[in-house]
Amino acid sequence: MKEDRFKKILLALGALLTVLFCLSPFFYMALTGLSLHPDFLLPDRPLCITLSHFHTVVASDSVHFLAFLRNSLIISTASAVICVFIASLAAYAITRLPVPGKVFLMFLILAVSMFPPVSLVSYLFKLMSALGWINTYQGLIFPYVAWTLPLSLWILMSYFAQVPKDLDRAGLIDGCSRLQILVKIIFPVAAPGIFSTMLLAFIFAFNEFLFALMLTTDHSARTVPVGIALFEGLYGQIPWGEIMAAATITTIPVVILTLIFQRRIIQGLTRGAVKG
Amino acid sequence: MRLTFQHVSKRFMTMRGAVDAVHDVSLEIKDGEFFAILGPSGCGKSTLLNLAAGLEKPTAGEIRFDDRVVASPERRIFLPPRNRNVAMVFQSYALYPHLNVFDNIAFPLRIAREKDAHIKMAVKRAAEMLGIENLLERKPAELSGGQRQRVSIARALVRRPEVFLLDEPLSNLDAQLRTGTRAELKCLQRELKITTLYITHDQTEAMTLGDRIALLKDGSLVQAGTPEEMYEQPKTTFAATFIGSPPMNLVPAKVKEKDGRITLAFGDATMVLPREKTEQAKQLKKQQVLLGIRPEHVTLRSEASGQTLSGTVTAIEPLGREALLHISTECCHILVLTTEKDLKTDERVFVCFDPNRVHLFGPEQQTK
Amino acid sequence: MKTERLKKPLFHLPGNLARMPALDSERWIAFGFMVPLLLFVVLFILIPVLGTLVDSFSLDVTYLPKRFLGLENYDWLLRDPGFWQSVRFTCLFVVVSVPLEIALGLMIALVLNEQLPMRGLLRACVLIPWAIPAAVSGRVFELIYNYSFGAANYLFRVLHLTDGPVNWLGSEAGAFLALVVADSWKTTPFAAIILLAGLSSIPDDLYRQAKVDRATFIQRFTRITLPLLKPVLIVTLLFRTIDALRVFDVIYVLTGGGPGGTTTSLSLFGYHYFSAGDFGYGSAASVILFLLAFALSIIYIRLGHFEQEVA
Repeated sequence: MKEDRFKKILLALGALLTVLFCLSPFFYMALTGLSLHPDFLLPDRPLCITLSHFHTVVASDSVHFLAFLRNSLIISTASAVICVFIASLAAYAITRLPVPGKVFLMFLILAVSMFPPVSLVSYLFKLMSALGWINTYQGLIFPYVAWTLPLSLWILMSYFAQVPKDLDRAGLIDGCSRLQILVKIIFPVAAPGIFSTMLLAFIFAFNEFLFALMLTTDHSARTVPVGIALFEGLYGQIPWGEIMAAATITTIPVVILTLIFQRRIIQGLTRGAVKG
Repeated sequence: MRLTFQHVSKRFMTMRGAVDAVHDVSLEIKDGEFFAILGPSGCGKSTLLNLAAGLEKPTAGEIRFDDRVVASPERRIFLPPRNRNVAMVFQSYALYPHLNVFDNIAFPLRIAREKDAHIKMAVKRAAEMLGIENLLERKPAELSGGQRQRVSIARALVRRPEVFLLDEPLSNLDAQLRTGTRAELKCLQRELKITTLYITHDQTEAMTLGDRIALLKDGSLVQAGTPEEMYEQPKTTFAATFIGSPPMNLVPAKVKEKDGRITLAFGDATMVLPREKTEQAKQLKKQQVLLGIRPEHVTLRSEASGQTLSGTVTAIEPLGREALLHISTECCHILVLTTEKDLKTDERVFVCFDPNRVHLFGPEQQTK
Repeated sequence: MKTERLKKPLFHLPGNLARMPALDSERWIAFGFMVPLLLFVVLFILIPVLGTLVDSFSLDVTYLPKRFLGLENYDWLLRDPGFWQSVRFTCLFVVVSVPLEIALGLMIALVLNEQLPMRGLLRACVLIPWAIPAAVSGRVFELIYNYSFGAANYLFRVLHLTDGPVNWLGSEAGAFLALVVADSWKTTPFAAIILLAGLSSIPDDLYRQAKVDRATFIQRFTRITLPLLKPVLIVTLLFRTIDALRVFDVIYVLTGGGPGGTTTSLSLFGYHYFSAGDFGYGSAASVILFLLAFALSIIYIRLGHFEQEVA
C-alpha cells in the first residue's frame, strides 16, 4: 500500500513536471508578446501588458506577417491534399496490386525519407530558378509534396492494409475498376486514416524551414517559420515583443489543432514509426 | 449458362516454391444446376470459385461460359470479373460498411450506370425476395449475421447474374439458422434457375443442396457426381470417408481364391462376395485391400460364425432413434448404427457385414 | 541462440502483402498508380541529390565560370578545420542529445502510460512542442537564453545557481548546452509518443505476474519493460540519430552556428557556403553528410529486416 501511495505521488509529480517542461516556454513567449518591454524579468523592470506588439505584427506594412501566414496556409494545405492523394494511389497499389519491384521501392522510399534536406536544397534551388519558380507557391508546394510523400505513404499503407480485401473483391465483381474501388470503397472506409495523414502532412509542410529559406527571397511566397526566423528589427535591436507576438499567433492554431486531433495525430505517428 | 472447367490448374509461387492450388480439374456444370464443391480446407475450392469469378487467372486450362472462352492462358484470353456477369456471396459477406442496405444492394447497378428508377425497382424486388425490405435504411453494422447474409445475397442477385457463386455462405451462421437458410437458398435457386457454384467443407450441406457434387482434395478432383452416386459409389477411401456421416468403416482385408471361389478375408472372418463384385476382387488378389462398409450396413449377431468379427463395445452414442456403437475388434475399430437399445459397454458382440453393400478399395484408391 | 534473436525483424512492412486479390495483368494499373509518387520523388528528391553530387565535383561559385574539379573540393574539405569542427560538433551533438531525448521521452512515456485523469489533455500538452515550427521554438529559446533579460539567467539568479548572468550564446559550452536543451525540448515528445506506443503493447499480465512474484518496481522495469521495449528503443534510437545528424533549423535560429562557428552542424556548414554562392564546396559537405545519413539508414533498414510474403 505504501508503495502505491508513493507511486501516486511520483506520478503526479511526473505529470506536473512534464506539463511544466512542455508548456513553460509558451507562457514565457506569450507573456513577452504581451509585455511592453521584453526585459520584465529584470529586478526593477515593471510588467506592462499591452497589445501593441500584436497590433504591429498584424497591421504594420513593414512586417509581412499576415502574408507569411496566408502563404503558409495555402502552401501547406495544397501540399497536404496533393501529397495524400498521390500517396493513396501508391498505397493502394502496394497493398493490393502486383507492383514490380515492390520491396526495392519500399527500401528506396524509406531511405529517401532519411535524406538530409541540405543535400538536395542547392540543386533544388537551381532547378526552381531555371523554372522561374523561386518565390512562387508551386516552387514550394512541389518539393513539399515530394518531401512528405514517404511518411504519408507509410502511414496510409498501414491504414489501407486494415481494409478487408474482400471489399476489393466484392467491388471487382460489382463491376468497379481499380480506381473506382479506391475512390468509392477505400476512401470512405479509410477516411479517418486519410484525414490523420493529411493532418500530419500539413504539419510537416507548415513547419518546414530550409527549403522555404532557400527557395524564397521576399514575402510573396515566404512561409511563417522563415518569416519569424528572419524577423529582425529595423534599428539593430531585436524586437522581441513583436517576434513573440508573431510566435504566439502562430502557435495558437497549432495548439488548438493539436488539442482537438491529438488522438489522430498520435495514431498516425506511431503507425509511421513503429511496426505497421 | 453452362460453366466449363477444362483441365484447369492454378499455380502459386510461395516461399516454399510452387504450389498448385488447383491441379488439372475438369468439370461441366449444367445450366441452372446447383453445383456443390466440397472438400477440406486447403483443397482448392475457394481458388476454383475465384477462377470462375475472374478474381484469379488460371495457369493452365480453359474456363468457358456456355461456348465462350472467358479464361485461357494458352489463347491469351482473360475476361475480368466485370465482364463476366457473375455474382458472388462471400463468407465474410463483404458488405460496404459506409453504405446502408439500399446503397449496398444498389451498388453494382450504380456502377453499371443504370437509371435511378430502374435501380429503385430492382433493389426493392431483390429486398422483397430476401425478406429484408424493412432494413433498407440501416447500415451493415446494425444488422445481425443472418440479415447481413441476406443483404449480401440480394446484392448478388440484383443484377440478374448468369452465374451465382457462393463461398461457404452458411459457415458463419449458428446451427439453427443454418438449416433454415439452407432450405431457403435451395428454394431461391430453384425459382431463379441460375447456375450456382456453392463451396463448402460440410458434406451434409453439399449432399442436401447440390444437384451434383465435386469432391476436391489438395487441388485435385477426387470424384464428381450426384449425391447418390457419391454416397453409393465412392471411388476412393477419401471419398468414402468424407461423404456420409457417420463415416464409412474401413477394414483391412485380403482377397483369397480357393477352389475357384473368390472370398474376402478380414480378421478371422471370411465373406463370399456377390457376383457383381467378383471381377473387381479378382484384380485385387494378393494386394492390400480395404473393405468399406457403412455403419448402417453392419449388423450385430449374438453368436459367432465364419462371417462375423468378434469385438467389444467401447462406447455408445445415443442418437435418438438409433445409436452409434464403437466396437473394437482385433483388426480394427468399427462403427455400427443400430436400433438395438439393449447393448451395454464392454459387452461382447459379433459384427456382420452385408456383402451386397461392401466396397472394395485397392491400393490406388487408398488416399491419405 | 543469439543469432536467432537478431533475425527477428524490428518492424514489418505495413499490412500483409500476400495474396492480394489481383492479377498479373494488373501490373500496368499497379505501375500507373505508382507513377505520380515516383515522378515526384525522382524529380524533386533523387535528381536534386544527384545534382548535388555532380556539383560537388566542380568549381561552382556564382559569377565564376563553372569548372570540373574532380575530387578537389573534397580534398579541400578534408583539410578544412571548419569542416572538422562541424563534424566534431555534429557528432557531439548527436551523442549528447539523442540519449537525453530518449531517456526523457521514456520517463514521460512511463507517466503517460498510467491511467491518469485528463490523460488526453496531458498527451496533447506533450505533443505541442513537436507540433510548432522549429524556427519558432528556436526564437523562443533565443529569448530564453538572452544574456541580459532571458528567463534562463533569471532562473539562475533567483535560484542562486551562479554569481552573475551566464553568457549562454556567447560561449561555446553555453551555446552547445542551449542547443541541446532547445532541440531536446522539441524532439522529446516524438520519442515519448513512440515509446508510449511500445509501452502500451506490453501486456499488463506480465506486470501483474511480476507483482505476484514480489518484484520491485526497478526489477519490473529492468526485467520486463526494458527487454520488451528493446526493438522500439532501437528503432527510435536510429531514427533520432539520423534526425540529429541533419539538424539545421534550431541551430540557424538560435546560434547561427556561433559563437565563432563552434556550433555549426554539418547541415549549417553546407548552407553557409550555399548562401555565399559557393555551390560546389557546400555540395561536397552536404554529400558527406548524405553518406553518413545513408549509411545509418542502411543499418536501420537491415535491422528492420523486411519480410516479404509473396503471393
